[in-house]
Amino acid sequence: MFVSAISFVAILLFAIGLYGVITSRVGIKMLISIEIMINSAILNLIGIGSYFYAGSGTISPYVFALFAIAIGVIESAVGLGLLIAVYHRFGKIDISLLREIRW
Amino acid sequence: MYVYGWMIFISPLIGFLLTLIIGKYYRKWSGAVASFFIFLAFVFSVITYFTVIKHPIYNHYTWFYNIDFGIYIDNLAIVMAIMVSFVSLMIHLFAIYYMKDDPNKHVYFAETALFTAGMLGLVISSNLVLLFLFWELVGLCSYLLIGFWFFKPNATAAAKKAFIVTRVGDLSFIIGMSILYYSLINVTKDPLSIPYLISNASSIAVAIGKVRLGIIAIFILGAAIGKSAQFPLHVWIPDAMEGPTTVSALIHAATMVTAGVYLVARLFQVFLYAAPFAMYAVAIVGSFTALYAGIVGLVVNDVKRILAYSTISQLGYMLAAIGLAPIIGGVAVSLGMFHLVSHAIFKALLFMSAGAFLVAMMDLREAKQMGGLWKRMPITTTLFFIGSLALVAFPGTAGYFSKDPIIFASYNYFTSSPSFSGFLPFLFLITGSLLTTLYTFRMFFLVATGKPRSTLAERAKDPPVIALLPLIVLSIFALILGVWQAPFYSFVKPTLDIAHYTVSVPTAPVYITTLPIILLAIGFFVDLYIYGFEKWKTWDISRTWYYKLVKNKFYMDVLYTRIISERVILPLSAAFSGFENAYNNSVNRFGSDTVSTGSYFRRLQSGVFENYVAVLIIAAIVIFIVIEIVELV
Repeated sequence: MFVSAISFVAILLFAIGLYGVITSRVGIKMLISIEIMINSAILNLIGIGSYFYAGSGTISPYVFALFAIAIGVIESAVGLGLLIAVYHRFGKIDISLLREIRW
Repeated sequence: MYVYGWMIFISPLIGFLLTLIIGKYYRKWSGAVASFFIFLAFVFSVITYFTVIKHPIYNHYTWFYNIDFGIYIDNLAIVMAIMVSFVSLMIHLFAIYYMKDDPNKHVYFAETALFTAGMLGLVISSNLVLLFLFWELVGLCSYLLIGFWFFKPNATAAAKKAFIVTRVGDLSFIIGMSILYYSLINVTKDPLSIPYLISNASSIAVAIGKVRLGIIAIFILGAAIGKSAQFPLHVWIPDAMEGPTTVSALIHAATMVTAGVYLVARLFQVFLYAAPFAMYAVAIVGSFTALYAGIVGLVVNDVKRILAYSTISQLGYMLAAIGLAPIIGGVAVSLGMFHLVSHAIFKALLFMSAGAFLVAMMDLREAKQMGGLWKRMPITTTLFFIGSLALVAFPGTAGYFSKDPIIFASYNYFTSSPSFSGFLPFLFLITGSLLTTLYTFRMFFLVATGKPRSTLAERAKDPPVIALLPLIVLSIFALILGVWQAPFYSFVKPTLDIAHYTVSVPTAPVYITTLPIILLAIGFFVDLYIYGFEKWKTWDISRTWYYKLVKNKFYMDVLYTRIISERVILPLSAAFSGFENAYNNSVNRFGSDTVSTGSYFRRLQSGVFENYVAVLIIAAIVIFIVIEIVELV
């Protein structure tokens, strides 16, 4: 039951993040939503790890979680850098301004 | 002391570099620098001579796999090296005068030094592959020097012609060498080393078969034909007269055309122990060329071109002499080489005196516009006369001792195999000797006697005597070289089995030994009547068919340009360029098709962010459904 509770929270967080990504047009809000989705995945990972590997002494799920946190930080840094560049170019952060990036 | 042997060709090579460097800043010293290094090569050749008379020098190192590089100097090679460096030295000294006003003379002298280095390397190299490298170096230098006055369109065309025609012979060399290599690769460890080939020729013939060795010999003869301008591939030499006259002297006397004859003499044992058709081919090619070039030489009016045809003819004598070996034995090489040496001396003399004429008359080369030069340029014309006497084998001169024995030997060849095929060399050579007299004295009378037929000829003056000193040295040798006939014959003898070992001056009955002299007299008086007393001015044979036939060189040039290049080579090259275009198109088409396929798929990149997210979600859902289905199944 414990695991399914954690999974439920994770799915909820994921759905919230997805909803935020789909509905928002402002880049910062989208970035925050993506961060929420990543963190839901990490939460899910830790929950499953603490259930299946409890007492076995293995630390792989937690290492994976730390790894994913680091990647998420880097990814948000890159995303923020892009958004600052967009802000310098256009004076606002509206994702629909980036339609020029295509074939 | 093999170091001196190496220095024979290294010193002109150093001379080549130093002449370029020093001549760039001190233009007038370039000739002296080049001559000095050629002189060094001559000195080293003479030093090496005293070692070689005791035993041959063979010093070699591994180059790659089973090919060595090194020097092999035996009697044949050292005679050739001394001759090449000496004649080349004389020509360099005269070129200091001849090229004195040329703005690029440091390049000229550097190239002639490299030319001499290439020829000396060819002479002393111990391996066929190394010999081939120097062979190509000589070809390259001849290309550069024939086209030295590159602002003349004729000169560049002649240079290209010389290069391409000799390439045909080189291809033949490569083919022959390759067959030899693959035949011998299981027989020995060093299949292309010259000392091995010439000392084991009879066992090689047993190991790989006489016929196959004969085919190899024919290919090597093809290389000699290309380099020595023999019958089918002689067309480049007359055009090569567009270069400076000293270059012509160098090509004809010392460095280039003798390489082919030397190659055959070098591999003489291979030819001798091969099937008999190889040696017969050598004899027949040589003697036919002697006749053919003599006929064409009769109607040429350009002084230098007459000399060019006489060179082709005399080279034919040398090859024919070597080809007579199956009957007359090892002396054949001695005969050919002695004629080579004496020809080098008197042909260098003739060319350089012709060069002196050309300097005096501002490059006028038409013999019919000269005339009366004996009074106006007495020293040069006398030297020219001495050269002509040696060329027609006047008794007592070098040519008499070198050329007439070849005719006697061909008579012996006929008497020991009395058949039509055995008679042909004798017929060709004896007729060729009459023709030699005819074209030589025709040229001489046109140039030297009568009244001047142009203002340039009227004002001609002798060059300073100091410039003519090399010519005087050569003319002395052209007169007295016959003294060394018998010692030379026994010195240059090839090492052979006892059965083929005869070294002596060929003898013949009196009516044969006097025949060349009678023909000489006939030719002289015919020419004296026609050209000495200027009867030719009233004659007009330019419309007769035989004159046209000979004047057009029996249509050999037409055969090469109109038929072989236009009908054979051009369609072939068109076919090959068709293949090339098809391949090019296939490569280009691959690229353009990839681009046009991409132009459909790139429309997915719409730039609308919501589309990307929608695709992402749909794709994730699809992937999960697929995974569920796979797990259920």
